[in-house]
Amino acid sequence: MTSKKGILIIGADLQGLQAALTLAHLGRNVTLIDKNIEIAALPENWSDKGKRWNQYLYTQVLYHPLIELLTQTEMTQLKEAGGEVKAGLIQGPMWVSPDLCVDCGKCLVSCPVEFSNGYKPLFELSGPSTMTIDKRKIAPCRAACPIGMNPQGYIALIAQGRFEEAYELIWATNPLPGICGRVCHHPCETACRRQEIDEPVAICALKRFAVDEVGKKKKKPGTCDTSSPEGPRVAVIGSGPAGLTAAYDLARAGFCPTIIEAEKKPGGLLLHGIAPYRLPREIIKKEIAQILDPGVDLRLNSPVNSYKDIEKLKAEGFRAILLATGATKDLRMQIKGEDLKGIYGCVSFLKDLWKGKKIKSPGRVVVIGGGNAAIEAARASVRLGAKSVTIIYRRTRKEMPADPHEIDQALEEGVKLRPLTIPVEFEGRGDGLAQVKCIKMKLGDVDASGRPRPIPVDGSDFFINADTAIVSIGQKADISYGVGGDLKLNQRGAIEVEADGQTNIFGVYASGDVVSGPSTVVEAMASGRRAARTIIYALKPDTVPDGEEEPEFSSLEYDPILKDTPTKKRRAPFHRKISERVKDKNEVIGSFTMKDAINEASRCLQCGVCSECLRCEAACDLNAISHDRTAIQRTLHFSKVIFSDKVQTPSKIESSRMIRIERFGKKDSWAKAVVAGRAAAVKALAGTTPVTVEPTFHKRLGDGELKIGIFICSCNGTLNENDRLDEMISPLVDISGVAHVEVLVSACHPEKGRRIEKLISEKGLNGALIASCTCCHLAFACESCNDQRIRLKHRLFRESGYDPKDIALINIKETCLLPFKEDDKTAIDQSMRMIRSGLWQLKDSKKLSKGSEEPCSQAIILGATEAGISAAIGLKEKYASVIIVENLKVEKSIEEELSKFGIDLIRPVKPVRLDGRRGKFTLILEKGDSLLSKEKKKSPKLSLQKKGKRLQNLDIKIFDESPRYKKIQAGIIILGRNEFKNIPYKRDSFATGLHAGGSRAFGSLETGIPGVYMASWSQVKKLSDQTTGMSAAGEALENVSDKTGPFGSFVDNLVAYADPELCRGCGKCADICPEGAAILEEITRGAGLSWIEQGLCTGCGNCISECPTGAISLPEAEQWYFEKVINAFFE
Amino acid sequence: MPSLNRKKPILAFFCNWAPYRCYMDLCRSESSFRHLIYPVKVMCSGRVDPAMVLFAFEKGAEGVMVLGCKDKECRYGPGPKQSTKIAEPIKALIHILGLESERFRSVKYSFNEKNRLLEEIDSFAKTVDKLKKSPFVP
Repeated sequence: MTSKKGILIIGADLQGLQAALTLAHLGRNVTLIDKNIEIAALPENWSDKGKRWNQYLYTQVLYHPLIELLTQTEMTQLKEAGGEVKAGLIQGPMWVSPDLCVDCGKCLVSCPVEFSNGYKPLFELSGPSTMTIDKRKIAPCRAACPIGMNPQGYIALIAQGRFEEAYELIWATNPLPGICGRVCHHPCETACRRQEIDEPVAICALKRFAVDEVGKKKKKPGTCDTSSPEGPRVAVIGSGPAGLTAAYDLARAGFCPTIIEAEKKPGGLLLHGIAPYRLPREIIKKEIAQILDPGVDLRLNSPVNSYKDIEKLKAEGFRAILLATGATKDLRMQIKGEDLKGIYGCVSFLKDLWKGKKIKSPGRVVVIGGGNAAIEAARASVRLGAKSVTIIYRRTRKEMPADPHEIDQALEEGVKLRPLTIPVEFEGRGDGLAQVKCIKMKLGDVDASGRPRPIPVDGSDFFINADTAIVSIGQKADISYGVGGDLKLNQRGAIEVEADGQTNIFGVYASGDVVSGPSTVVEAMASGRRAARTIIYALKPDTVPDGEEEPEFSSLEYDPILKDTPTKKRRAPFHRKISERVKDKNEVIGSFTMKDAINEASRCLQCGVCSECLRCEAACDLNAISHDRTAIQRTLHFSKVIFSDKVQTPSKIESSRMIRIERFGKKDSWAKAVVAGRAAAVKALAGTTPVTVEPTFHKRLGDGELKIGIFICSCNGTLNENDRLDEMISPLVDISGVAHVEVLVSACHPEKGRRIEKLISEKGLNGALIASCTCCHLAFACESCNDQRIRLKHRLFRESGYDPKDIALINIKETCLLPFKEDDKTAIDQSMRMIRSGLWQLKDSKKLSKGSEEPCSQAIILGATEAGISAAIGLKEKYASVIIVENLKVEKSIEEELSKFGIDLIRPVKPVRLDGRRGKFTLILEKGDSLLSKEKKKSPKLSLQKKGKRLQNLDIKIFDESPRYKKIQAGIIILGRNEFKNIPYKRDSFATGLHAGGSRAFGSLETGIPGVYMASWSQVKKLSDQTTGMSAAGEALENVSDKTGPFGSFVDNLVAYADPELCRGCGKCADICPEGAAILEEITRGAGLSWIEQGLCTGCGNCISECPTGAISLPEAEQWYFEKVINAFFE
Repeated sequence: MPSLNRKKPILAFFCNWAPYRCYMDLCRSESSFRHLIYPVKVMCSGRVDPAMVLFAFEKGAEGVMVLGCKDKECRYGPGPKQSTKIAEPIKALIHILGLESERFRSVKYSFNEKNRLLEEIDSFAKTVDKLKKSPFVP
């Protein structure tokens, strides 16, 4: 049973590439996979020849229509069933699409990350010629951020002085950046890897710097611009960080949110809980304004007091209601005397204060608690002119939940700290507070919160004199609106929600402190964000794809921190003098100076390598880069699987459907790799049939008067700085025959480049010259080619089906524009000359050569050796008749095996003379005595030296005279034993000299005589004879399969032609032709004439320089053509 | 690198294979390419015949280079041999015509030899710069 299914090749190393190409030449569909992105690059220690052949194969594979090349692909499973192989493939995320990248380098310029050794996360590959991105695990700072900010990205941008871009990146995930830059408890800095060297990077202060810096210049640095008035309406109750973030996210998703706030001003605890000297009011105002700006409604003075209010909102048309009312109700100590005058709850104290309520000097103040709110109250008291301020905390300073930095500042300002102390009673004088009775504590075992439990010390009571006490032992949510409804609360009195913010009531969600109890600004924001996402998903399920909410991150480890990384001191922003700062409400901490910010930012280790700042995405106008791409998984069916050398094979490889390319020891032996790859391909042929490949029929654009369009590619604009390419348009239009000149964004881009096709048909052009990086219009690829050039040629000549005769391709990028990039005038001048010279490609007349002869469909193998036999088996895939000739004894078992394969064996015969050329050989065999009848045995053998002539110079007709000799025809010959190499050979019956034959490059098993191959090769000793035999068969098969062969479409447009009028039959062309394509035939006795076999000519043009009469012509290789081209340069 | 005389253009016949690949690599590399080279691509250096070289001189080339593949690395076979064969006759010819034989150079390259190509073009350009203006320049 034969299968038309394709063949899977795993591992695109030299062997794999060669195997793929051989199979494709023989008409098999091939899928070639490799786990690497880069294929054409080889280690430095490879020889030049090896590298060259690898590059050549790579370009061939890219250009071949039957080969699908999948890089970054691994096989996940392999199953053999029902006469085919089922393979599961997974292709890693292609962040840079090789199909769209034009290799212009814009992204490289945009990337802010650069290491001290110059390494960048974006770099260019050599094959495929596209960019790639080095991504590691997500950076620790980014992973630690509750709202998923990207500190690595904005720090890299700040380090380069690109503050606006840094701000844009910050704003993309954080609607309150200026606020977070001041009051965030920055878990990012806690996670920062820099502290393994010295101290963490001052991420929070850098964020603030970027926001301040951009804020100085622009009033409104960013907007969220996607809210649509038609979007679903959502009520967000509360305008604290959770509510604001949720509203921002909802607006960006096209929703129409309304923030409902009970107070006069929006901001919630940002406004009422945080002092203006830490967070200036104008920052809050500005950032809230930015969120509100594009379509977030705000209703002030609208408290939601009862469950009825919520129902009213529902009735008003809000499809979802988000409760983000925070935790503002102070907890009480529940000790004696708590209702005395002068005792305040922390939040209500601060709220009154920052609302502007006049508070008289508080005297001696005691603050109870160790959180940020307690510090806030203590510092506020200092500014109110308190005589003394003491913070009482039951554990030690180390356990205080407040930010250490804030504690430091409070202590600097004169606040005293009494750790290991707890108040047990407030004692009054009259109705006012007089003193606080405390007891001392000691630390015990670690409790459930992970901190040591404070234990009272018996009899340690003492008194602290105090006029004011501020109780800051925590807050709880005020959920009066829940009463009377069904809203479910948990034991702590907070709203009970599922992880995503959904309460027990349909359409009602909750987020922020009202759910979690008192937390931090950024955690509240994160909670708001989660709830917003839930709402978005509930109301617009298509916008958030289920299960794919998070983009795919790389799992590659970070680079280790080098021991010799120099330490750099963490910079601190400017702090105002204590004596000054306690006097007013102005901000205590300043912003970084620009120099400090850049220096501090450059301390970042860039853990994730690529920071995913997405600047490259923005820089690429061609959509080649997307950081959102995910891995693609698929299951495909194949008839065979070939494993290349470097791939781990599954343990079971006995199956005939699984083929392993033979290992050959040394890794850099490219010649062996080529031979082994080809052999594996031939092995895989058995049981498969070729697909029918339609030969490309090129549509001509029409003759007549030339109407040429000239298209100049600007390589995504990178070559067209200051519109310099436009200068060429008017002088080019003036050239006769030129109908249209245009500068393109990109010629090779699959969409942008289509303009060429569009204009050709619209304007009725009958020729086009494309001045880009593509250097020839031959429909084939050589090792100078790259992905972009091949892509363009493939599109023009295969997809769009133009005839290469109608399209001229000129490389001005590499020959003119890049080398003279600093000298516009020379670059343009040179380009003009190149374009003018290229026009002659179109004006050249295309002559056609004499047609091909049908090659002989019989193959002969000399020698029934192991190599010869395996070559014969390989050839049987294509040749109807395969004959082995042998003069030695052949074992019975071998004879039987051969007949099983349908291979004929002739013995005992001795090959004595070879004549002819590839496709048309004549072999003369001398029959052994056992094959001759009695009388014929007497017929004489021809001696090797007859009449002083060597045997190959004898007229072949002499052999007809004796019955001892037999003539046999063959298309190709394979030598099973090396000794046959010395067989007397004469190519043409009428030639002046012997064909010398060029030396074969690139691991070929072809001998100096085209069409004759060696089945064993002394240079590749490590390979088995079976492999070399198969490989020889493969090469022979490749070279005779014309339509999809290596030069398949090449011969259409570039073959030589010998003009019989001018030929004088000297045979020089026949002597020099390496392919044996120039053939000298005897016309009459003593006079010959050359003709060129189209199927064999490869268009090198050597015959033209040899021809003394100028009889041979070859498009674009003729004297007159070169004269025109040279003329164009010197005009 | 001092900037070289752009008024003395050099015409270079590049074999499509190894030398052209080197040239592409060189042009793409950071090392800015400072010589005015008019590249003419031929499929094989063996195609270049003396007539083409003479024509280039006639039209105004100050120097002509033929860049071919190394022996035994020819894609076709006979190219390197062929281009070597014509090098000496060409030098003799241009000498007879009154041109210095240094104005012609035939060099062979392997794939991946862009640095050698740069050196060679550099040295050839310097040689040509030292010579007087070609009497054939129209």
